[in-house]
Amino acid sequence: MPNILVGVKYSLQVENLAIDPKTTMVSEDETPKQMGDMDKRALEEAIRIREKIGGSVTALCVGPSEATKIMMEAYAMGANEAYLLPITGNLDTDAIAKIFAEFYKKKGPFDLIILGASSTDSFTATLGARIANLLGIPVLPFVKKLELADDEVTVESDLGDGTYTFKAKLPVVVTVTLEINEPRIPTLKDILKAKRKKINEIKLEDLGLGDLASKVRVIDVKAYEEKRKQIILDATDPSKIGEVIDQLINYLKEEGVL
Amino acid sequence: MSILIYGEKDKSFQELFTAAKILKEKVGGSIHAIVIGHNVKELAEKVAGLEVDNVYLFDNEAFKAFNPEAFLRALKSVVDETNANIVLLESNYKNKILGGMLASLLDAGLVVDTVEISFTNGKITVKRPVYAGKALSTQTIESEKAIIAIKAGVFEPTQLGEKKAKIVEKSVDLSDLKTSLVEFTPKVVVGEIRLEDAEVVVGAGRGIKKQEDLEMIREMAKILGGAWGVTRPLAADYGWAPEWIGISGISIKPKLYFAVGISGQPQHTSGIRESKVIVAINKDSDAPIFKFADYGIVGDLYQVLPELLKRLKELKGEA
Repeated sequence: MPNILVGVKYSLQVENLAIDPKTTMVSEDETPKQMGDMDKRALEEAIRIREKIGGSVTALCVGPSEATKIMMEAYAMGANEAYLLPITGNLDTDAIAKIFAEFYKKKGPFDLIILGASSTDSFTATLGARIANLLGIPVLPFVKKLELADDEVTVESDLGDGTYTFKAKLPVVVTVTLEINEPRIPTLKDILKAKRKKINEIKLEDLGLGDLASKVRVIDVKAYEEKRKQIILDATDPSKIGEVIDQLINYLKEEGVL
Repeated sequence: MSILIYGEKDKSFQELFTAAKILKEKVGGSIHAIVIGHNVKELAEKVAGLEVDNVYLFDNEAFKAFNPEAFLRALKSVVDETNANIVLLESNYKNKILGGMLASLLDAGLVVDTVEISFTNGKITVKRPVYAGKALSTQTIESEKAIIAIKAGVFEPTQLGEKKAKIVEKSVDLSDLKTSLVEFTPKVVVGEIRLEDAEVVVGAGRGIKKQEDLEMIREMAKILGGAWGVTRPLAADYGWAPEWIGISGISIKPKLYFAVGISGQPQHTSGIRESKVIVAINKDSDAPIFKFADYGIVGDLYQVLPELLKRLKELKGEA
Protein backbone atom coordinates (compact mmCIF):
# COMPACT_ATOMS: atom_id res chain seq x y z
CA MET A 1 0.00 0.00 0.00
CA PRO A 2 1.68 3.15 -1.18
CA ASN A 3 2.77 5.93 1.09
CA ILE A 4 2.24 9.04 -1.01
CA LEU A 5 3.67 12.54 -0.58
CA VAL A 6 1.93 15.39 -2.38
CA GLY A 7 3.35 18.88 -2.76
CA VAL A 8 0.92 21.79 -2.77
CA LYS A 9 1.71 25.43 -3.37
CA TYR A 10 -0.08 28.46 -2.04
CA SER A 11 -0.25 30.06 -5.47
CA LEU A 12 -1.20 33.50 -6.65
CA GLN A 13 -4.53 33.80 -8.43
CA VAL A 14 -3.11 35.06 -11.70
CA GLU A 15 -6.50 36.33 -12.85
CA ASN A 16 -6.59 38.63 -9.80
CA LEU A 17 -3.08 40.09 -9.75
CA ALA A 18 -2.69 43.17 -7.56
CA ILE A 19 -0.86 45.70 -9.71
CA ASP A 20 0.35 49.12 -8.59
CA PRO A 21 -0.95 51.36 -11.39
CA LYS A 22 1.95 53.82 -11.03
CA THR A 23 4.89 51.44 -11.10
CA THR A 24 3.10 48.45 -12.78
CA MET A 25 4.76 46.34 -10.08
CA VAL A 26 2.91 43.22 -9.01
CA SER A 27 2.28 42.98 -5.27
CA GLU A 28 2.39 39.34 -4.22
CA ASP A 29 1.16 40.18 -0.73
CA GLU A 30 -1.99 41.82 -1.96
CA THR A 31 -2.83 39.22 -4.59
CA PRO A 32 -5.35 36.59 -3.44
CA LYS A 33 -3.99 33.06 -3.30
CA GLN A 34 -5.25 29.50 -3.58
CA MET A 35 -4.06 25.93 -3.96
CA GLY A 36 -2.41 25.57 -7.39
CA ASP A 37 -4.68 24.06 -10.07
CA MET A 38 -2.28 21.26 -10.90
CA ASP A 39 -1.39 20.70 -7.22
CA LYS A 40 -5.05 20.08 -6.53
CA ARG A 41 -5.04 17.41 -9.22
CA ALA A 42 -1.90 15.88 -7.72
CA LEU A 43 -3.73 15.59 -4.41
CA GLU A 44 -6.84 14.19 -6.10
CA GLU A 45 -4.77 11.56 -7.92
CA ALA A 46 -3.09 10.50 -4.66
CA ILE A 47 -6.42 10.21 -2.88
CA ARG A 48 -7.88 8.15 -5.74
CA ILE A 49 -4.95 5.74 -5.53
CA ARG A 50 -5.49 5.37 -1.78
CA GLU A 51 -9.22 4.85 -2.24
CA LYS A 52 -8.47 2.08 -4.72
CA ILE A 53 -5.60 0.21 -3.11
CA GLY A 54 -5.05 1.75 0.30
CA GLY A 55 -2.02 3.52 1.69
CA SER A 56 -1.77 7.06 2.96
CA VAL A 57 -1.54 10.58 1.60
CA THR A 58 0.63 13.28 3.15
CA ALA A 59 0.44 16.83 1.84
CA LEU A 60 3.32 19.26 2.28
CA CYS A 61 3.27 22.99 1.63
CA VAL A 62 6.22 25.34 1.88
CA GLY A 63 4.70 28.77 2.16
CA PRO A 64 3.50 31.63 4.34
CA SER A 65 1.62 30.86 7.58
CA GLU A 66 -1.68 31.86 5.91
CA ALA A 67 -1.28 28.77 3.73
CA THR A 68 -2.99 26.83 6.54
CA LYS A 69 -6.09 27.71 4.50
CA ILE A 70 -5.16 25.33 1.69
CA MET A 71 -3.93 22.70 4.13
CA MET A 72 -7.43 22.61 5.64
CA GLU A 73 -8.66 22.16 2.09
CA ALA A 74 -6.21 19.28 1.66
CA TYR A 75 -7.73 17.64 4.75
CA ALA A 76 -11.24 18.27 3.45
CA MET A 77 -10.34 16.61 0.16
CA GLY A 78 -9.06 13.59 2.06
CA ALA A 79 -5.35 13.92 2.93
CA ASN A 80 -4.31 11.82 5.93
CA GLU A 81 -1.69 14.29 7.09
CA ALA A 82 -1.04 17.91 6.18
CA TYR A 83 2.27 19.64 6.90
CA LEU A 84 3.13 23.29 6.58
CA LEU A 85 6.68 24.54 6.59
CA PRO A 86 6.24 28.26 7.13
CA ILE A 87 8.61 30.64 5.39
CA THR A 88 8.72 34.39 5.07
CA GLY A 89 9.59 35.84 1.69
CA ASN A 90 10.44 33.67 -1.26
CA LEU A 91 12.68 30.67 -1.71
CA ASP A 92 13.79 29.55 -5.15
CA THR A 93 12.95 26.13 -6.59
CA ASP A 94 16.40 24.82 -5.65
CA ALA A 95 15.72 25.50 -1.96
CA ILE A 96 12.17 24.09 -2.08
CA ALA A 97 13.53 20.90 -3.68
CA LYS A 98 16.01 20.48 -0.81
CA ILE A 99 13.17 20.85 1.69
CA PHE A 100 11.11 18.15 -0.06
CA ALA A 101 14.09 15.80 -0.25
CA GLU A 102 14.84 16.21 3.46
CA PHE A 103 11.17 15.83 4.35
CA TYR A 104 11.12 12.60 2.35
CA LYS A 105 14.04 11.29 4.39
CA LYS A 106 12.65 12.41 7.72
CA LYS A 107 8.94 11.53 7.35
CA GLY A 108 9.17 8.91 4.63
CA PRO A 109 10.28 7.05 2.79
CA PHE A 110 7.42 7.56 0.39
CA ASP A 111 6.65 5.33 -2.58
CA LEU A 112 5.31 8.11 -4.71
CA ILE A 113 5.77 11.85 -4.72
CA ILE A 114 3.06 13.55 -6.75
CA LEU A 115 3.31 17.23 -7.63
CA GLY A 116 1.56 19.59 -9.98
CA ALA A 117 3.61 19.72 -13.21
CA SER A 118 4.00 23.44 -12.67
CA SER A 119 2.69 26.14 -10.43
CA THR A 120 -0.04 28.26 -11.93
CA ASP A 121 1.83 31.43 -11.01
CA SER A 122 5.47 30.97 -11.97
CA PHE A 123 5.18 27.98 -14.33
CA THR A 124 8.80 26.97 -13.79
CA ALA A 125 8.03 23.23 -13.88
CA THR A 126 11.40 22.07 -12.55
CA LEU A 127 10.68 21.13 -8.92
CA GLY A 128 9.90 17.46 -9.58
CA ALA A 129 13.07 16.95 -11.60
CA ARG A 130 15.17 18.47 -8.85
CA ILE A 131 13.61 16.44 -6.03
CA ALA A 132 14.04 13.25 -8.04
CA ASN A 133 17.66 14.03 -8.65
CA LEU A 134 18.36 14.80 -4.99
CA LEU A 135 16.80 11.48 -4.00
CA GLY A 136 18.33 9.51 -6.88
CA ILE A 137 14.95 8.33 -8.11
CA PRO A 138 13.23 8.77 -11.51
CA VAL A 139 10.95 11.65 -12.45
CA LEU A 140 7.98 11.12 -14.75
CA PRO A 141 6.96 14.63 -15.78
CA PHE A 142 3.84 16.26 -17.28
CA VAL A 143 1.70 13.19 -16.69
CA LYS A 144 -1.87 13.09 -18.00
CA LYS A 145 -2.54 9.45 -17.11
CA LEU A 146 -1.14 7.33 -14.31
CA GLU A 147 -1.43 3.63 -13.58
CA LEU A 148 0.02 1.89 -10.60
CA ALA A 149 0.46 -1.88 -10.55
CA ASP A 150 2.40 -3.51 -7.71
CA ASP A 151 5.67 -1.65 -7.50
CA GLU A 152 5.62 -0.20 -10.98
CA VAL A 153 4.06 2.94 -12.37
CA THR A 154 3.16 3.51 -16.02
CA VAL A 155 2.36 7.02 -17.18
CA GLU A 156 1.49 9.00 -20.27
CA SER A 157 3.52 12.20 -20.41
CA ASP A 158 2.73 15.07 -22.73
CA LEU A 159 6.09 16.65 -23.47
CA GLY A 160 5.02 19.09 -26.15
CA ASP A 161 6.16 17.12 -29.20
CA GLY A 162 4.07 14.09 -28.42
CA THR A 163 2.93 11.59 -25.84
CA TYR A 164 5.52 9.45 -24.10
CA THR A 165 4.60 6.29 -22.23
CA PHE A 166 7.14 5.82 -19.45
CA LYS A 167 7.49 3.04 -16.95
CA ALA A 168 9.47 3.04 -13.72
CA LYS A 169 9.71 1.15 -10.46
CA LEU A 170 8.77 2.84 -7.23
CA PRO A 171 9.79 5.11 -5.67
CA VAL A 172 9.24 7.81 -8.29
CA VAL A 173 8.37 11.47 -8.58
CA VAL A 174 5.37 12.11 -10.83
CA THR A 175 4.28 15.58 -11.92
CA VAL A 176 0.72 15.88 -13.22
CA THR A 177 -1.05 18.20 -15.65
CA LEU A 178 -4.60 19.55 -15.67
CA GLU A 179 -5.79 16.69 -17.88
CA ILE A 180 -5.18 13.92 -15.35
CA ASN A 181 -8.43 14.23 -13.41
CA GLU A 182 -11.19 16.51 -12.25
CA PRO A 183 -10.60 17.20 -8.56
CA ARG A 184 -13.43 16.62 -6.11
CA ILE A 185 -15.18 19.48 -4.37
CA PRO A 186 -15.32 18.72 -0.64
CA THR A 187 -18.79 18.57 0.90
CA LEU A 188 -19.75 20.73 3.86
CA LYS A 189 -19.43 17.62 6.02
CA ASP A 190 -15.88 17.05 4.77
CA ILE A 191 -15.03 20.67 5.52
CA LEU A 192 -16.41 20.51 9.04
CA LYS A 193 -14.60 17.23 9.68
CA ALA A 194 -11.37 18.74 8.40
CA LYS A 195 -11.64 21.58 10.91
CA ARG A 196 -11.06 19.09 13.74
CA LYS A 197 -7.75 18.02 12.22
CA LYS A 198 -4.46 19.57 13.15
CA ILE A 199 -2.07 21.02 10.62
CA ASN A 200 1.41 19.79 11.44
CA GLU A 201 4.01 22.50 11.48
CA ILE A 202 7.56 21.62 10.57
CA LYS A 203 10.58 23.91 10.59
CA LEU A 204 13.73 24.04 8.50
CA GLU A 205 15.75 23.12 11.62
CA ASP A 206 13.64 19.98 12.08
CA LEU A 207 14.89 18.89 8.67
CA GLY A 208 18.48 19.77 9.48
CA LEU A 209 18.42 22.62 7.00
CA GLY A 210 19.92 25.96 7.90
CA ASP A 211 19.55 29.10 5.87
CA LEU A 212 18.75 28.18 2.30
CA ALA A 213 20.38 30.67 -0.01
CA SER A 214 18.54 31.24 -3.28
CA LYS A 215 20.60 30.69 -6.40
CA VAL A 216 18.18 32.79 -8.40
CA ARG A 217 17.02 36.09 -7.00
CA VAL A 218 13.90 37.91 -8.17
CA ILE A 219 14.67 41.61 -8.58
CA ASP A 220 11.21 42.77 -9.62
CA VAL A 221 8.00 41.68 -11.30
CA LYS A 222 6.23 44.14 -13.56
CA ALA A 223 2.88 43.68 -15.24
CA TYR A 224 2.89 43.88 -19.02
CA GLU A 225 1.08 46.89 -20.34
CA GLU A 226 -1.43 45.99 -23.01
CA LYS A 227 -1.11 48.59 -25.73
CA ARG A 228 -3.70 47.57 -28.27
CA LYS A 229 -5.81 49.98 -30.28
CA GLN A 230 -9.09 48.48 -29.09
CA ILE A 231 -11.16 49.78 -31.99
CA ILE A 232 -14.50 48.08 -31.53
CA LEU A 233 -16.98 47.63 -34.39
CA ASP A 234 -20.55 46.67 -33.60
CA ALA A 235 -22.06 43.94 -35.76
CA THR A 236 -24.73 42.76 -33.35
CA ASP A 237 -27.29 43.99 -35.89
CA PRO A 238 -26.90 41.49 -38.78
CA SER A 239 -27.68 44.21 -41.33
CA LYS A 240 -24.47 46.02 -40.25
CA ILE A 241 -22.17 43.05 -40.85
CA GLY A 242 -21.24 43.90 -44.44
CA GLU A 243 -20.36 47.47 -43.49
CA VAL A 244 -18.34 46.41 -40.45
CA ILE A 245 -16.35 43.90 -42.51
CA ASP A 246 -15.53 46.58 -45.07
CA GLN A 247 -14.27 48.80 -42.27
CA LEU A 248 -12.18 45.99 -40.83
CA ILE A 249 -10.65 45.17 -44.19
CA ASN A 250 -9.71 48.81 -44.71
CA TYR A 251 -8.06 48.96 -41.29
CA LEU A 252 -6.11 45.79 -41.97
CA LYS A 253 -4.97 47.11 -45.36
CA GLU A 254 -3.78 50.31 -43.69
CA GLU A 255 -1.84 48.20 -41.20
CA GLY A 256 -0.25 46.41 -44.14
CA VAL A 257 -1.20 42.98 -42.87
CA LEU A 258 -3.74 42.00 -45.49
CA MET B 1 35.35 27.53 -18.09
CA SER B 2 33.05 27.27 -21.07
CA ILE B 3 29.54 27.70 -22.40
CA LEU B 4 27.68 24.64 -23.66
CA ILE B 5 24.69 24.90 -26.00
CA TYR B 6 22.19 22.08 -26.41
CA GLY B 7 19.49 22.18 -29.08
CA GLU B 8 17.30 19.76 -30.98
CA LYS B 9 17.14 21.45 -34.37
CA ASP B 10 19.61 23.61 -36.31
CA LYS B 11 17.48 26.68 -35.68
CA SER B 12 17.60 26.26 -31.92
CA PHE B 13 21.40 25.90 -32.04
CA GLN B 14 21.64 29.04 -34.18
CA GLU B 15 19.57 31.04 -31.69
CA LEU B 16 21.35 29.65 -28.65
CA PHE B 17 24.69 30.46 -30.25
CA THR B 18 23.66 34.13 -30.55
CA ALA B 19 22.88 34.14 -26.83
CA ALA B 20 26.15 32.32 -26.07
CA LYS B 21 28.12 35.04 -27.87
CA ILE B 22 26.51 37.73 -25.69
CA LEU B 23 27.54 35.83 -22.58
CA LYS B 24 31.01 35.01 -23.89
CA GLU B 25 31.82 38.69 -24.39
CA LYS B 26 31.42 39.16 -20.66
CA VAL B 27 32.57 35.91 -19.14
CA GLY B 28 35.04 34.67 -21.76
CA GLY B 29 35.87 31.01 -22.28
CA SER B 30 34.95 28.85 -25.22
CA ILE B 31 31.62 27.73 -26.68
CA HIS B 32 30.82 24.08 -27.28
CA ALA B 33 27.71 22.38 -28.62
CA ILE B 34 26.13 19.04 -27.86
CA VAL B 35 23.90 17.06 -30.23
CA ILE B 36 21.92 14.12 -28.85
CA GLY B 37 19.68 11.90 -30.96
CA HIS B 38 19.47 9.13 -33.51
CA ASN B 39 20.71 9.67 -37.09
CA VAL B 40 21.75 13.21 -36.20
CA LYS B 41 25.18 13.34 -37.88
CA GLU B 42 23.81 15.76 -40.44
CA LEU B 43 22.60 18.07 -37.69
CA ALA B 44 26.02 17.91 -36.02
CA GLU B 45 27.66 18.85 -39.35
CA LYS B 46 25.41 21.91 -39.59
CA VAL B 47 26.08 22.93 -36.00
CA ALA B 48 29.80 22.67 -36.74
CA GLY B 49 29.20 25.64 -39.05
CA LEU B 50 28.77 27.86 -36.01
CA GLU B 51 31.85 29.33 -34.38
CA VAL B 52 32.01 26.75 -31.63
CA ASP B 53 35.11 24.84 -30.57
CA ASN B 54 33.72 21.32 -30.44
CA VAL B 55 30.46 19.66 -31.33
CA TYR B 56 29.91 16.65 -29.07
CA LEU B 57 27.78 14.08 -30.84
CA PHE B 58 25.75 11.32 -29.21
CA ASP B 59 24.21 9.35 -32.06
CA ASN B 60 22.51 6.26 -30.77
CA GLU B 61 19.19 4.52 -31.20
CA ALA B 62 18.67 4.88 -27.45
CA PHE B 63 18.32 8.63 -28.07
CA LYS B 64 15.66 8.25 -30.75
CA ALA B 65 13.02 9.57 -28.36
CA PHE B 66 13.36 11.44 -25.11
CA ASN B 67 14.17 9.67 -21.90
CA PRO B 68 15.07 12.18 -19.17
CA GLU B 69 17.65 9.93 -17.49
CA ALA B 70 19.41 8.92 -20.70
CA PHE B 71 19.64 12.48 -22.04
CA LEU B 72 20.80 13.75 -18.67
CA ARG B 73 23.69 11.28 -18.64
CA ALA B 74 24.87 12.45 -22.06
CA LEU B 75 24.54 16.11 -21.13
CA LYS B 76 26.25 15.71 -17.77
CA SER B 77 29.22 13.85 -19.28
CA VAL B 78 29.91 16.74 -21.67
CA VAL B 79 29.39 19.39 -18.98
CA ASP B 80 32.09 17.57 -17.00
CA GLU B 81 34.41 17.16 -19.97
CA THR B 82 34.17 20.78 -21.09
CA ASN B 83 34.07 22.14 -17.56
CA ALA B 84 31.05 24.14 -18.64
CA ASN B 85 29.81 26.71 -16.16
CA ILE B 86 26.98 27.95 -18.36
CA VAL B 87 24.55 25.65 -20.19
CA LEU B 88 22.08 27.14 -22.67
CA LEU B 89 19.10 25.22 -23.95
CA GLU B 90 15.73 25.91 -25.48
CA SER B 91 12.92 26.39 -22.97
CA ASN B 92 10.44 23.59 -23.55
CA TYR B 93 8.87 20.85 -21.44
CA LYS B 94 11.62 18.32 -22.04
CA ASN B 95 14.39 20.77 -21.31
CA LYS B 96 12.74 22.08 -18.17
CA ILE B 97 13.05 18.54 -16.81
CA LEU B 98 16.62 18.11 -18.07
CA GLY B 99 17.53 21.57 -16.80
CA GLY B 100 16.00 20.87 -13.40
CA MET B 101 17.93 17.64 -12.98
CA LEU B 102 21.16 19.13 -14.28
CA ALA B 103 20.83 22.19 -12.03
CA SER B 104 20.47 19.99 -9.04
CA LEU B 105 23.42 17.79 -10.08
CA LEU B 106 25.70 20.78 -10.68
CA ASP B 107 24.35 22.94 -7.86
CA ALA B 108 23.70 25.54 -10.52
CA GLY B 109 21.19 28.38 -10.73
CA LEU B 110 18.47 27.67 -13.29
CA VAL B 111 16.20 30.09 -15.09
CA VAL B 112 13.56 29.06 -17.62
CA ASP B 113 11.36 30.83 -20.20
CA THR B 114 14.11 33.43 -20.64
CA VAL B 115 13.32 36.25 -23.07
CA GLU B 116 16.23 38.60 -22.33
CA ILE B 117 19.79 38.26 -21.04
CA SER B 118 21.97 41.04 -19.64
CA PHE B 119 24.41 41.69 -16.80
CA THR B 120 24.05 43.74 -13.62
CA ASN B 121 27.14 44.12 -11.42
CA GLY B 122 28.71 41.20 -13.20
CA LYS B 123 25.78 38.91 -12.50
CA ILE B 124 23.79 37.27 -15.27
CA THR B 125 20.38 38.91 -15.30
CA VAL B 126 17.42 37.52 -17.18
CA LYS B 127 13.85 38.49 -17.81
CA ARG B 128 11.08 35.92 -18.01
CA PRO B 129 7.28 36.04 -18.17
CA VAL B 130 5.46 34.87 -15.04
CA TYR B 131 1.88 34.71 -13.76
CA ALA B 132 0.47 33.08 -16.88
CA GLY B 133 2.42 35.58 -18.93
CA LYS B 134 0.76 38.63 -17.40
CA ALA B 135 3.96 39.98 -15.92
CA LEU B 136 7.68 40.07 -16.60
CA SER B 137 10.11 39.10 -13.86
CA THR B 138 13.73 40.27 -13.67
CA GLN B 139 15.98 37.74 -11.99
CA THR B 140 19.69 37.44 -11.27
CA ILE B 141 21.68 34.24 -11.07
CA GLU B 142 23.63 34.24 -7.81
CA SER B 143 25.48 30.95 -8.22
CA GLU B 144 28.74 30.31 -10.02
CA LYS B 145 27.16 27.92 -12.50
CA ALA B 146 24.12 28.81 -14.56
CA ILE B 147 21.63 26.93 -16.68
CA ILE B 148 19.54 29.17 -18.87
CA ALA B 149 16.53 27.86 -20.79
CA ILE B 150 15.67 30.37 -23.52
CA LYS B 151 12.34 30.72 -25.32
CA ALA B 152 12.48 29.89 -29.02
CA GLY B 153 12.49 32.89 -31.32
CA VAL B 154 13.93 35.35 -28.79
CA PHE B 155 17.43 35.62 -30.26
CA GLU B 156 18.16 36.12 -33.94
CA PRO B 157 19.62 32.92 -35.38
CA THR B 158 23.32 33.17 -36.27
CA GLN B 159 23.94 32.17 -39.88
CA LEU B 160 25.54 28.79 -40.42
CA GLY B 161 28.92 28.97 -42.14
CA GLU B 162 31.28 26.36 -43.52
CA LYS B 163 31.96 23.45 -41.21
CA LYS B 164 34.72 24.62 -38.89
CA ALA B 165 34.29 22.98 -35.53
CA LYS B 166 35.55 19.55 -34.62
CA ILE B 167 32.89 16.87 -34.22
CA VAL B 168 33.65 14.62 -31.28
CA GLU B 169 31.71 11.37 -31.31
CA LYS B 170 30.71 10.28 -27.85
CA SER B 171 28.88 7.52 -26.09
CA VAL B 172 27.69 7.12 -22.55
CA ASP B 173 26.80 4.16 -20.39
CA LEU B 174 23.05 3.74 -20.53
CA SER B 175 22.77 0.58 -18.48
CA ASP B 176 20.62 0.52 -15.33
CA LEU B 177 18.31 3.30 -16.44
CA LYS B 178 15.46 3.46 -13.96
CA THR B 179 13.02 4.96 -16.44
CA SER B 180 12.04 3.07 -19.56
CA LEU B 181 10.28 4.56 -22.55
CA VAL B 182 7.58 2.14 -23.67
CA GLU B 183 6.11 4.13 -26.51
CA PHE B 184 6.30 7.52 -28.18
CA THR B 185 3.42 8.95 -30.22
CA PRO B 186 4.49 12.15 -31.97
CA LYS B 187 2.02 14.99 -32.24
CA VAL B 188 0.21 15.39 -35.52
CA VAL B 189 0.92 18.71 -37.18
CA VAL B 190 -2.45 20.38 -37.66
CA GLY B 191 -1.91 22.27 -40.89
CA GLU B 192 0.80 22.58 -43.47
CA ILE B 193 2.20 25.64 -41.75
CA ARG B 194 3.38 25.43 -38.16
CA LEU B 195 1.60 27.85 -35.86
CA GLU B 196 4.84 29.28 -34.54
CA ASP B 197 6.07 30.11 -38.06
CA ALA B 198 2.83 31.41 -39.59
CA GLU B 199 2.39 35.04 -40.67
CA VAL B 200 -1.37 34.83 -40.28
CA VAL B 201 -3.08 32.73 -37.62
CA VAL B 202 -6.78 32.10 -37.12
CA GLY B 203 -7.61 30.91 -33.61
CA ALA B 204 -10.87 29.33 -32.51
CA GLY B 205 -12.32 29.33 -29.00
CA ARG B 206 -15.36 28.04 -27.20
CA GLY B 207 -17.62 30.23 -29.32
CA ILE B 208 -17.25 27.46 -31.90
CA LYS B 209 -20.03 25.06 -30.99
CA LYS B 210 -19.25 21.92 -32.94
CA GLN B 211 -16.04 20.30 -34.15
CA GLU B 212 -17.23 20.38 -37.77
CA ASP B 213 -17.58 24.17 -37.51
CA LEU B 214 -13.79 24.34 -37.31
CA GLU B 215 -14.00 23.92 -41.09
CA MET B 216 -14.76 27.67 -41.29
CA ILE B 217 -11.59 28.41 -39.33
CA ARG B 218 -9.53 26.09 -41.53
CA GLU B 219 -10.95 27.68 -44.66
CA MET B 220 -10.19 31.17 -43.41
CA ALA B 221 -6.60 30.20 -42.61
CA LYS B 222 -6.27 28.67 -46.06
CA ILE B 223 -7.58 31.79 -47.81
CA LEU B 224 -5.12 33.93 -45.87
CA GLY B 225 -2.23 31.52 -46.41
CA GLY B 226 -1.87 31.02 -42.71
CA ALA B 227 -2.24 28.46 -39.96
CA TRP B 228 -5.14 27.76 -37.65
CA GLY B 229 -5.28 26.77 -34.02
CA VAL B 230 -7.53 26.50 -31.01
CA THR B 231 -7.60 27.51 -27.37
CA ARG B 232 -6.78 25.12 -24.56
CA PRO B 233 -10.32 23.87 -23.82
CA LEU B 234 -10.88 22.87 -27.44
CA ALA B 235 -7.65 20.91 -27.52
CA ALA B 236 -7.25 19.55 -24.01
CA ASP B 237 -10.91 19.11 -23.01
CA TYR B 238 -12.66 18.38 -26.32
CA GLY B 239 -9.70 16.83 -28.15
CA TRP B 240 -10.42 18.76 -31.36
CA ALA B 241 -6.73 19.48 -31.95
CA PRO B 242 -3.49 18.06 -30.56
CA GLU B 243 -2.09 21.42 -29.45
CA TRP B 244 -3.29 24.84 -28.45
CA ILE B 245 -2.30 28.48 -28.63
CA GLY B 246 -1.33 29.90 -25.25
CA ILE B 247 1.43 30.28 -22.72
CA SER B 248 1.18 26.61 -21.74
CA GLY B 249 0.99 25.54 -25.38
CA ILE B 250 2.30 27.30 -28.45
CA SER B 251 3.23 30.98 -28.35
CA ILE B 252 2.66 32.64 -31.69
CA LYS B 253 3.92 35.85 -33.30
CA PRO B 254 2.13 36.35 -36.58
CA LYS B 255 1.62 39.66 -38.34
CA LEU B 256 -2.12 39.13 -38.10
CA TYR B 257 -4.06 37.10 -35.56
CA PHE B 258 -7.80 36.49 -35.65
CA ALA B 259 -9.29 35.41 -32.31
CA VAL B 260 -12.64 33.89 -33.21
CA GLY B 261 -15.08 33.10 -30.42
CA ILE B 262 -12.27 33.38 -27.87
CA SER B 263 -13.06 34.96 -24.50
CA GLY B 264 -9.45 35.94 -23.72
CA GLN B 265 -8.20 34.03 -20.69
CA PRO B 266 -4.70 35.17 -19.59
CA GLN B 267 -3.41 31.71 -20.46
CA HIS B 268 -4.34 32.37 -24.09
CA THR B 269 -3.64 36.10 -24.41
CA SER B 270 -0.10 35.63 -23.09
CA GLY B 271 0.62 33.31 -25.97
CA ILE B 272 -0.51 35.84 -28.60
CA ARG B 273 1.20 38.92 -27.14
CA GLU B 274 3.85 39.07 -29.86
CA SER B 275 1.28 39.29 -32.67
CA LYS B 276 1.51 42.53 -34.64
CA VAL B 277 -2.20 43.08 -35.19
CA ILE B 278 -4.94 41.27 -33.29
CA VAL B 279 -8.56 41.05 -34.47
CA ALA B 280 -11.20 39.63 -32.14
CA ILE B 281 -14.67 38.41 -33.09
CA ASN B 282 -16.96 37.70 -30.15
CA LYS B 283 -20.63 38.19 -29.41
CA ASP B 284 -20.00 39.23 -25.81
CA SER B 285 -18.95 42.89 -25.81
CA ASP B 286 -17.52 42.44 -22.30
CA ALA B 287 -15.21 39.59 -23.32
CA PRO B 288 -11.66 40.33 -22.06
CA ILE B 289 -10.26 39.54 -25.52
CA PHE B 290 -11.37 43.00 -26.72
CA LYS B 291 -8.81 44.59 -24.37
CA PHE B 292 -6.10 42.63 -26.17
CA ALA B 293 -7.38 43.41 -29.64
CA ASP B 294 -6.54 46.18 -32.08
CA TYR B 295 -9.83 45.62 -33.87
CA GLY B 296 -12.85 43.95 -32.40
CA ILE B 297 -16.10 42.90 -34.00
CA VAL B 298 -18.93 42.44 -31.54
CA GLY B 299 -21.28 39.99 -33.20
CA ASP B 300 -22.29 36.39 -33.67
CA LEU B 301 -19.41 34.58 -35.32
CA TYR B 302 -21.86 32.29 -37.11
CA GLN B 303 -23.19 35.36 -38.91
CA VAL B 304 -19.96 37.37 -39.22
CA LEU B 305 -17.60 34.61 -40.36
CA PRO B 306 -19.44 33.52 -43.53
CA GLU B 307 -19.55 37.15 -44.69
CA LEU B 308 -15.92 37.71 -43.80
CA LEU B 309 -14.89 34.54 -45.64
CA LYS B 310 -16.78 35.70 -48.72
CA ARG B 311 -15.08 39.11 -48.70
CA LEU B 312 -11.63 37.66 -48.05
CA LYS B 313 -12.07 35.22 -50.92
CA GLU B 314 -12.99 38.07 -53.27
CA LEU B 315 -10.07 40.09 -52.03
CA LYS B 316 -7.53 37.30 -52.42
CA GLY B 317 -9.10 36.36 -55.76
CA GLU B 318 -8.49 39.90 -57.02
CA ALA B 319 -4.85 39.88 -56.04
